[in-house]
Amino acid sequence: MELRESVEIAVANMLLTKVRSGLSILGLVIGTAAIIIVVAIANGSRKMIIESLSIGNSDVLYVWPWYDEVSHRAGTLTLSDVDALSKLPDVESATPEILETKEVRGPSGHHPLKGLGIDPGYLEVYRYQIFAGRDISLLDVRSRAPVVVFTKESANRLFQGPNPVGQSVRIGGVIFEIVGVVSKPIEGQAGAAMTKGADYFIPVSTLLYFEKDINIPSIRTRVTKGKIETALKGIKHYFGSDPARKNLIKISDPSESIEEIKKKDRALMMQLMSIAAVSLLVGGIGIMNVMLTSVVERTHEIGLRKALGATSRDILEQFLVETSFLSGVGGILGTVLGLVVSWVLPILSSGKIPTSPVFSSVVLSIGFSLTFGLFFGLFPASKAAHLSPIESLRYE
Amino acid sequence: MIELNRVVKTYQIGETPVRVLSGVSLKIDEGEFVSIMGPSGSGKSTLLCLMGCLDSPTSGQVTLAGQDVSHMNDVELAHVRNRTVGFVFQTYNLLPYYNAVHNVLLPMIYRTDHKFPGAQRQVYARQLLDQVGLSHRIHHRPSQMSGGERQRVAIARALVNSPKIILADEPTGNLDSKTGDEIVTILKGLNRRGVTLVVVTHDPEVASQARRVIHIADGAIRQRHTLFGA
Repeated sequence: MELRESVEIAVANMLLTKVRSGLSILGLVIGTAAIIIVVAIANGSRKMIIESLSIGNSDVLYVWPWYDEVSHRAGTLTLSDVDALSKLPDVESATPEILETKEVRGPSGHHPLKGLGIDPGYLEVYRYQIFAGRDISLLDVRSRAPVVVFTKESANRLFQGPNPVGQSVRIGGVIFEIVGVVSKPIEGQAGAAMTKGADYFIPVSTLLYFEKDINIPSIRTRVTKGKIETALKGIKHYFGSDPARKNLIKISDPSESIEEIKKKDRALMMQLMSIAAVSLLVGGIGIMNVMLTSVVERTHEIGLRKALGATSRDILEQFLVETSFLSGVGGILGTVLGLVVSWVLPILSSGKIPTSPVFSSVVLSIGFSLTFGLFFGLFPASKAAHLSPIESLRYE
Repeated sequence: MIELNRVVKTYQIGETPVRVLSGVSLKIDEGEFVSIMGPSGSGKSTLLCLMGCLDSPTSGQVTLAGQDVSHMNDVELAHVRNRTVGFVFQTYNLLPYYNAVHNVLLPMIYRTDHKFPGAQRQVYARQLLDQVGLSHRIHHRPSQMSGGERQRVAIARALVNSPKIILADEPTGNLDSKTGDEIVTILKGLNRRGVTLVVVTHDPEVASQARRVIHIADGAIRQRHTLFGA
């Protein structure tokens, strides 16, 4: 029998046994799709976690005072430090990070709220979204304008009505104009812990103007992209040059946090692999069952075909072609289904279930579907093909 | 045409070997119509399976149309089953999801000489179905046919590669007497056209149509030429 004829028989067989072929394919489709979907979901949440860890950290160095336990002295940071840092090579800007609590008075009451002094662009980096009005502008910072941006939650507590933009509030006795309202980043995407607690934002220059003697808890330095090494060296040199401040200033080492992130990524990757392994196993067992049942229930047919003149090779060839067809079609349909579900899931869950299909999982699941299909189709088929025809014919 | 020489067949059932045929020798000439009779478990079906190369003997020699089949390999045996012998079973053994035409042309696809290309097979299968009086049922599946109709499809299938020998194992066993008679008539017609016919049967009516009756009991030939009680 020629291969072309085997293919003809296999195709005719599948068309003649639509229900059974359909069911075998369904098993393969679900197995393949399950692998792709599970891996995509696991990888999606892994990516989200890693992204939230590394947000705003890639080109930012923090400097903060340290308490030395040996000498019992505490370091301090001043505005002149901020100035000096901002003039260092490869440092684009240096901003004091000051989170202060002030009594804020609005038309519907007064509350103690936490305010953060910021630069233009800060809100964007930390994924705040402008809900109404505008962001703090460069002009605001230059002119030390008494303007404020509220978070939606705090705006709701101070004002009635949805949009307080244009109205005034008193912050610690000074009148500020509200220029914008922002909504907080989606849970899990928030950046540094500092921003999480802030209820309102004012230009950093304005804050420093009213709080000249404030103790600066930390300085955020934004460095030129890719120049973090030289910038770090410069900052270390600046603080190291004054022996009185030795060991009293701490500089964040981004390589440390990158190492931390990498470690977390590895742990999440391991988790991902074990989930993939389990779903591969489950999918594989499903495929195996379908193929095994199909061959066992066709032992009689194999016996009959042999009685009518088929050689063992003819039988093997027929099953090889049939199982590759079934597992190939099942694998492809399953991949399509898996990718479609991975794509639709984040939309349907409005971002709560992030997915990110992994190319290797697609290759892997098609490979598995083919291998399982062939192995578990061929093994019993070859057993049946080598029985004497009368034994398979008597098999019920 | 068919020659058996001291054929022994032993089956292994669990631990104990069961001897089904103990040294059977017989000779069937070309164009003969022979019935094989015997009680259940006497070994008559096994005998027929050995003649049809569906099974091989434990010892002894089976010769079909001048060829010793007892030491053939898988491919050679498949060729003999395909071309020399046509088998008709008690339970028809049709493929349930194939229609009559597809069932009939099945042995043609396993021919090694490619005598019938795809399109011709269907035409030839229809001709054969017409010969057994089923031209009106060619697109029906076995489940849509009566027992008699199914057996006719099976006979058409056995004839498709023009074998020299037709072996029928209880061909009327699942049929009422009227349909059974029709099937026997068809088989006798084939025999008249020169096909060597061997029929295993319980039914003395069927057996009596044959020119020769071989009686089997306990795996050996008992009597020849006479009926084994009614």
